[in-house]
Amino acid sequence: MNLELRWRILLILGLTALCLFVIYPPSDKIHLGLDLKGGIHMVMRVKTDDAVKAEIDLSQERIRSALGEKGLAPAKIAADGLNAILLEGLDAARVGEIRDLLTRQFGHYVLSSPGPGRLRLLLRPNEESAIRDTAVRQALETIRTRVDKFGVAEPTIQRQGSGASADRILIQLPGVENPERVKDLIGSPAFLEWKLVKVPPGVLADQFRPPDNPDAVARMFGGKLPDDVEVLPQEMTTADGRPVQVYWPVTKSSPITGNDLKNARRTQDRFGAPAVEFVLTADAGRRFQELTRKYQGQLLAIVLDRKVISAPRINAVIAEQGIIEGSFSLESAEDLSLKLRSGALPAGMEILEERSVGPSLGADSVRQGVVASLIGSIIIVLFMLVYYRGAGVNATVALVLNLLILLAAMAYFHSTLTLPGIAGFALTVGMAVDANVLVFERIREELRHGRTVRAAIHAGFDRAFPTIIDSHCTVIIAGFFLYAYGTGAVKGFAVTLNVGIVANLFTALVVSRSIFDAELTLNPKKETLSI
Amino acid sequence: MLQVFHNANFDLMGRIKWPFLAFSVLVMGLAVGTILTRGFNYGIDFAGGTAVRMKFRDRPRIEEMRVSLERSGLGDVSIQNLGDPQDNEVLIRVELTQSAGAATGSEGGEISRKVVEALQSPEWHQAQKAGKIDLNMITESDLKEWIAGRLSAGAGGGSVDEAAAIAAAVVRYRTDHAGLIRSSSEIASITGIKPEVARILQDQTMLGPFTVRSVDFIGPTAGKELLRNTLLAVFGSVGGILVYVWLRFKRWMWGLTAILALVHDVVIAAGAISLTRKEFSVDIVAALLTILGYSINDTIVVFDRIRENLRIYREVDFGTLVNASINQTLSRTILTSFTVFIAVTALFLYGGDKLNPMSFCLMVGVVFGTYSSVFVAAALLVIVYRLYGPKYVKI
Repeated sequence: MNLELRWRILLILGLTALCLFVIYPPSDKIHLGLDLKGGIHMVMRVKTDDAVKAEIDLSQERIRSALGEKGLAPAKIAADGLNAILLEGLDAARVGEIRDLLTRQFGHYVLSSPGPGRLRLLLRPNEESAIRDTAVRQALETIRTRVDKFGVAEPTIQRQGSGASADRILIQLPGVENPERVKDLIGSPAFLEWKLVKVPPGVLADQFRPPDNPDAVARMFGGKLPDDVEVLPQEMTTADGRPVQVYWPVTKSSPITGNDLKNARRTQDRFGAPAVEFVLTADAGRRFQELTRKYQGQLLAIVLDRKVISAPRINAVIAEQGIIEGSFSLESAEDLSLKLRSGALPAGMEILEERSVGPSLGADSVRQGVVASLIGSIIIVLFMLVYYRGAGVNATVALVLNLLILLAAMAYFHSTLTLPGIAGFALTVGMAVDANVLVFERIREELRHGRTVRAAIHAGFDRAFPTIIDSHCTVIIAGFFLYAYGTGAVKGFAVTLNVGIVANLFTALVVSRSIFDAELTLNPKKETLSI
Repeated sequence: MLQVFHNANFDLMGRIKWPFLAFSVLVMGLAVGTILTRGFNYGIDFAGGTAVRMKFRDRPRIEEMRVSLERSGLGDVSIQNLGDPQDNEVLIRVELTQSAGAATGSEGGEISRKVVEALQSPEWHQAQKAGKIDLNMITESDLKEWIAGRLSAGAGGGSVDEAAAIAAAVVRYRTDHAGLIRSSSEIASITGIKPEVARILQDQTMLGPFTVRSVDFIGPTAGKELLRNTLLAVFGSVGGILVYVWLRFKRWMWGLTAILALVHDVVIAAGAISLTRKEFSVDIVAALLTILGYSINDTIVVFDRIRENLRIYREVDFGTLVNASINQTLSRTILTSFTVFIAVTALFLYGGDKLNPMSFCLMVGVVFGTYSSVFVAAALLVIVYRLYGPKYVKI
């Protein structure tokens, strides 16, 4: 046996061993997609506009106070479109001074003057995209924390998309069955605020009953709400179990928010009903103490995502620790405290795609896919053995090694096997023999032309080589675009197809040839070839 | 030695090529016509909406279901049977509502809940109000909690671990039986369930007539984006293959005819999908792209052989040379298409309803891809050469 062939055989055996090692045990190493093992797949979009809007709102407040301190406050200050602020009614004589101040303190805006007494601040584009990017990253972190605390095995939480659509977050939770709870858990912003209830003039806090429509609130204030008051709804159930919404007049500003929380956990109120206990940071604790001292006897609304959860009366001075009561179930109290612990989402979320697959369907899909692939493979192998006899064994060995390499590559790169991926396997089997057929047919042709076995084998491989490369390349071109633009399960198909085709190049050109060469070396005077 | 063709020598590039070309034009015309007039039955991947897949214990009564669903105000609802009739599986599709869209952020789950509520009988709703759980609908975690509650209430005061083990056993049994427990007598037979637990389950739970196997929701923006990505992928692949063929053969005539054959195959495969009203989903896109990559494969094998022969036989009529090349590669062409055809046919027959449209599309593509490499690509090459090329080709 010549040296070169010996090395090739060693390489093949080594590779086989390596593949087996990488694959073993398959149940751990081959990652099944959600369509096969069941679970929830979601693509969410972070509404990054929210974050930009929040920045504009915040800047408005800061401009107002910065200019106010110097007695330069404009008559009107308002958002202009999504990413700009318009100041109107400025003191024309002091516009220069105002410009200087704004340029100094609000450098991330571009100043322009659309008319006399007016200034426009446009958020710089790079600043805006940074804000959007941060919002997505924060959302990603928050969701990750929430999912981790929820206790899902092997979750996938990734940022997806590029350019303008880089605001996507992919969430995959294998084995989770109830999408509603998960969705609520990861999708709700969980922005917690404490706001003082502004009872209408002449009403005692204890006697105030929130009306069931927002207009009635305005009427209580004499038709028009004060500037610093807004109306927020609360969902309640009446004594006979009917759902009803009531409306609270509360302050627009929130002295304490969820950002001031240090910790939150599920607890019980004094009646044993589920409630949420919270701990504030030291600084917020001081502010809370001051607030509760100042407004003792009044009502303090606890607002989650712009909805009032409860509005208890301030009975005592509260510092760092408190309790939120509401009509919680065990589960919802647990979920709320979890959300509060993981922090608020910086922007709203929108669900673009949601798929949940039950475990029974996944199991069926695996069974059917594997059975179909096996049937196809067995028929193909039988056919190759009958048609090419000895060389058919050769092709079968190459085929088996082909599949082995494909599985090993998938295990090594942590690729996911999806249902279309299984179809990709079946197709790979069908196409894998293609290269063998090309070579075998060529060898037969050369034998017909009266060449010796050795010469026919060599000529067969050499002449079929460019064609094999060509035909594999075109499949890979299509496979590449399928991978680049495909989504979800289809990507899995592209992966198996592409890897299978590349592995096929190796098995058809190296493995199959080495087997022929080995036959020739063992029997140098071989005069007939079983092909 | 077994052989498909023994020294094949068919005259395929003579006059016979014209009826075949006419046939191709006709089929392509039909495919384009079908696509234009009937369009595609777009799956929710593209159209958006919610699809709820359910399995029933008994043969589902589609018409009654339709009435119940329409009464529940779900808007446009379509119901279709899946797989074999004895599987009792249906797919219920609910269109996106105009106002809500993805904005509400909870369409999928909410709609599947509404569908379930609409389809359950009044008796079921009553039993549920009375505190009975449906073993065919409940999730493992909920079942665990429920069992834990029952165990601690009864004698013995079982542990949480025990409840978890029971819930897992019940759900495993259900999973192994396509998601449905059919009769309460089955409960006692589940391994790991003690008789007293089985009795509790039999007395205090019910077995609903169906189970939900999967819910898919696709918002309106996702569909549009998918369409864009699909077009990018298709044009990218065609462009990539065009460049490859051009680089490889360096003559526009070769590239052009190869691409025409390719377009032929993909259009016909797409037409077959349109004609059979099979769901046009992402999988179909994958199948069409695979056909793109695969059908050019056969063409290239033929072209490679033509080129090789051009180097050997310098002064031969081009048509004769092409014909010889086709005959030399005919066994190979038929054989490899045959093996791929076996693979996709097995998927089509045994792969389940999810892989069915995709494998059907591939089957059509493989057949026409093989056909077109000879009767479209090579035949056109001969014609184009006769019109524009030298009669005797020199390399």
